[in-house]
Amino acid sequence: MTTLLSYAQDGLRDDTSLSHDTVPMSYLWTLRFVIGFQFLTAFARRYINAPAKMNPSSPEYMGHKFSEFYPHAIWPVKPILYVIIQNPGMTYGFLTFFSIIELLVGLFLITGTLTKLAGFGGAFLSLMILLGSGWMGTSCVDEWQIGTVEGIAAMIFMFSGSGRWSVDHWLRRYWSGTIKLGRLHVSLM
Amino acid sequence: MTVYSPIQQETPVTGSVDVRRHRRIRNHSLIMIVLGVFFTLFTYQYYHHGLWGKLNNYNKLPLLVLKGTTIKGNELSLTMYRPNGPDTYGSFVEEVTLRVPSSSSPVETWTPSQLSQVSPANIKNAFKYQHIKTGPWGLVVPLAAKATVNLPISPAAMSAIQQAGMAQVTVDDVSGVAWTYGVSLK
Repeated sequence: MTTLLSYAQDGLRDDTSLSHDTVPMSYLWTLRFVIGFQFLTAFARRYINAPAKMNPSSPEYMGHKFSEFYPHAIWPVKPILYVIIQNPGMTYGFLTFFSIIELLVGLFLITGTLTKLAGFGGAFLSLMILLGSGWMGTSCVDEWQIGTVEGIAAMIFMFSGSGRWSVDHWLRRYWSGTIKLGRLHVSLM
Repeated sequence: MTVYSPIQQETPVTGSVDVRRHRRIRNHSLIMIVLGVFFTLFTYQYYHHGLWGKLNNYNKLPLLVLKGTTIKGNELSLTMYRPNGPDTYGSFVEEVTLRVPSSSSPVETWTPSQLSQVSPANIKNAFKYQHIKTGPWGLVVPLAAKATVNLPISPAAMSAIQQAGMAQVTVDDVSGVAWTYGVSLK
């Protein structure tokens, strides 16, 4: 009580860390790191650790994994997945595109660059993967847990953006981070 | 002396920056909770029957769906689709038998060595990536694979099936699990 009062008297009433209504942005640094790291390593596994995953003639090729999602996938992922896995050329193109998006989302979330846009990308990737592969996981309900937690955590960054310790914090000095899409003003950071 | 309170108690002025900001935060939070709760609960129930019904994991035990299997000419067109089971291993079809109601023993049996020698031309896979193939001890059916396997029926078995007008096909997994399906003649 006395601490609170002394802060108040020091003119620090607006310090959000004292409020039950708000969370200091810096509390989210670790979450932003771990979510970004998931996407970054998803890319790294395919292009650095185990390149066979991107080799169409290998039994480890990601096309097999995407094909395995099919039986219990949910609309709209199921019909899209069918087209992707039944056209090998499209499978490769899609996997490449998907991996690059994962790399960008990972890097942007970790560094806090265009955090809201990266959060949107991460939420979209995770929730779509949830609708595709959420039924898998032999030891537990693994993919369902991954999909919901990553998707919702990324969605929170889509709304919150980043605080200090981010590229956005520096970028905000020069740019508002808002673009105009028709009548909508979309905030990217 | 004023006591600091986290939420400003002053009467809000409609349209002021502060009120609009609070409203926006409230709306964003509501969007997030609705989306978050929806994705969590819907997928948990849909995939795992976790809210009501019996808890379920499609990824644990293999299931072969034999729907679409027919007997045409002197051949069994065995359609196998595996929507369930682990993605990392199996399953393995060890034996295929045909039965008719009048006989207690199967009228036709395909053994592991016969199944392992089915020619690739007689296995028509439906998907580009997940394929049913022959293995050293029978047929290997990976997760999400679907194929029609043509197996020749001996004349003796064929006449017994034609007499019965139908047959029951049984597919045995190496684990001892078996799936049966009533086959109609075409």
